[in-house]
Amino acid sequence: MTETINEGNEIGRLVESWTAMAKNFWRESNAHREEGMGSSGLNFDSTAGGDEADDNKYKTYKSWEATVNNSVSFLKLMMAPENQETLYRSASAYTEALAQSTGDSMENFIELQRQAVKSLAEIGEHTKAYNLDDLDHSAFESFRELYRTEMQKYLKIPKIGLPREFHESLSELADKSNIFISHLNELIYQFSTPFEKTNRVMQTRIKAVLEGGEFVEDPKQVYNEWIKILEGHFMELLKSKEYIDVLNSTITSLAAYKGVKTDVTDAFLKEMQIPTGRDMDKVYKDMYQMKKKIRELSKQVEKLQNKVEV
Amino acid sequence: MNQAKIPVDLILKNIEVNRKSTQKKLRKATAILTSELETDISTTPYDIVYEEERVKLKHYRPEKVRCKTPLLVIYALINRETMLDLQPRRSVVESLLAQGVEIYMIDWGYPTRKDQFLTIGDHVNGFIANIVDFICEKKGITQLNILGICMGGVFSIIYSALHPHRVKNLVTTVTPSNFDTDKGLLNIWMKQTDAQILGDVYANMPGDIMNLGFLLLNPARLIIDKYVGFIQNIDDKNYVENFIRMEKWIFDSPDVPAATFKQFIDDLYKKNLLIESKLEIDGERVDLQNITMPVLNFYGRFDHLVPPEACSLLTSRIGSSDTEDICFDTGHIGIYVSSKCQREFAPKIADWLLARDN
Repeated sequence: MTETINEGNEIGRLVESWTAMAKNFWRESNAHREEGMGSSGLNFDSTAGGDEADDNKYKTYKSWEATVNNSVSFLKLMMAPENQETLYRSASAYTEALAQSTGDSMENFIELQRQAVKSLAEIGEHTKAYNLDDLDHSAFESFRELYRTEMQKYLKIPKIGLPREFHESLSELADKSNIFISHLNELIYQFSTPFEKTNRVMQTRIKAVLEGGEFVEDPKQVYNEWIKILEGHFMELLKSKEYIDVLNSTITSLAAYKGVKTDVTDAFLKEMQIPTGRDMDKVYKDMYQMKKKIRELSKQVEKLQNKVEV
Repeated sequence: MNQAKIPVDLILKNIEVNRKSTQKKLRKATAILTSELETDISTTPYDIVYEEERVKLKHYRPEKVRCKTPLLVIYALINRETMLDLQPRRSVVESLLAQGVEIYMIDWGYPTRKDQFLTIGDHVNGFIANIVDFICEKKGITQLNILGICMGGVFSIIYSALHPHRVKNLVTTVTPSNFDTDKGLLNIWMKQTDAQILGDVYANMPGDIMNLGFLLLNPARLIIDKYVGFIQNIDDKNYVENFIRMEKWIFDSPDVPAATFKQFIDDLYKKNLLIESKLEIDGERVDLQNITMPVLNFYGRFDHLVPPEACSLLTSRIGSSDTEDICFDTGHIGIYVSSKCQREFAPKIADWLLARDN
């Protein structure tokens, strides 16, 4: 406790000396400004005189001095020994609250990080040829889980004020973009697996050939074998449920992202008084329906004319 | 572990030989790539005889008409009809004209955002029906022959079922009618994903995204091996020209109107309504029993987009008794562009139509 009071006094002295320095700085800089203006022939206060002129000359300094004095008084009051304990308890309460609120998040974060590292290590491992059971979906799901639990909630914080609606759209755009990119990354990862598996098969075959002392004279032969194996791996991948699930997630998340992107673009276009794509769609729909109606009516008129002629 | 016996001398000798041949090849390749290449596609002369919004009708005239009834070619909304006239001497259009068949071909154009609400019904009962009426009026006939290709084949089937009095003979090529099969990856993906939502998101389904999807059906061959093959043959001018023509065609992909794309996936890929005669277009049921005209049905044994299982059921579900199925040992595109099919495909169609041309 004594230590805290001493520290408090130290801080008080530090603040006092800093404010004294600052006072001098502002006084001197104001004085220099006046000198500079005088030498250049400029004098903004030519009509002012006496104390009023002084007030105008030093108004920045005086305003600043008043603010600093108030702050110093407040700090001194807070640093007074009889207030130190209350101040300390209050600070501890804030620290505890902060630690409590971030504690859960940190635990989740560490657990997810552990899972993610494990999954990433698995991605780096070789996979079996012509077998897609080992396609690792969990790494990408871990990242998405991490995003959903630890990042998405910050984007979903309610927006306030006049630009609330626009800020909401921007947050949603960031959110949908993150989700789409995560699915796209997973799709790209899946596309890399046939290459990895094919290279593994080829390495084994080439090793066997070299160990046998044979030499493949025509590289085309090796390429043909490689492309055939690669095609086989791709065929396995492209019809697998894992691939189709990821493809579907990519399509739906792309659709969601594009929708929000259009919202944001529309907001800008509206500001500039330019019709948006959606505005034009309404016009096009009306045109489409009108054309259809006209065609129907034309046919009916033609039929009636024929009847009349008959 | 055995010690590898690496024949270093042989490897070094090979490197030297390859270095020389690669240098020679690169010099020749540079000369070819920087020279004038003939890579134009769709060079057979035609007239545009009808236009409706983005859709145009091409008219190809044979030197001598042998088949009195003209043939209307309905291509898919995916990629473009230029595939049927890829290059001289490798052109379905050229072969059919040589056989005396007068051709009308629909060019669907490039749908824009305003076309996103167009349904299958708008294509079949709108554009196609109007085009058929136009040709019939122009030629003073009541019926014509229809050749449908892939998705265009589906439109042809629907049109023939809804307007059977207008169709004299129907030819379907690589046309999916039965979607209840897991033989093709496209069938698996379309059934098990929500790909149809992309139509809403992009207003129309972007052609480039669809093309990417088609490349991913066989990435090893279509993204890697194809270009390795190109590099290997880069010193062959003829090969380079053909390759570039094909690249021009394959990456010329119009978007598909969102409403049509969604309907195609929901009603056909997911619910398989067409082959069950349960599909409804503009409130009318598409009853395959209404297809009583002669039907010739082509498909490819190695077609990875529309597998044989997706095509072969059609002739057994329609009302016609004059039907024929022909399965070529080729893939989805090979049926139109491979040399072997070129010799058999168009002549077979012409002969079959002539035999039914009164």
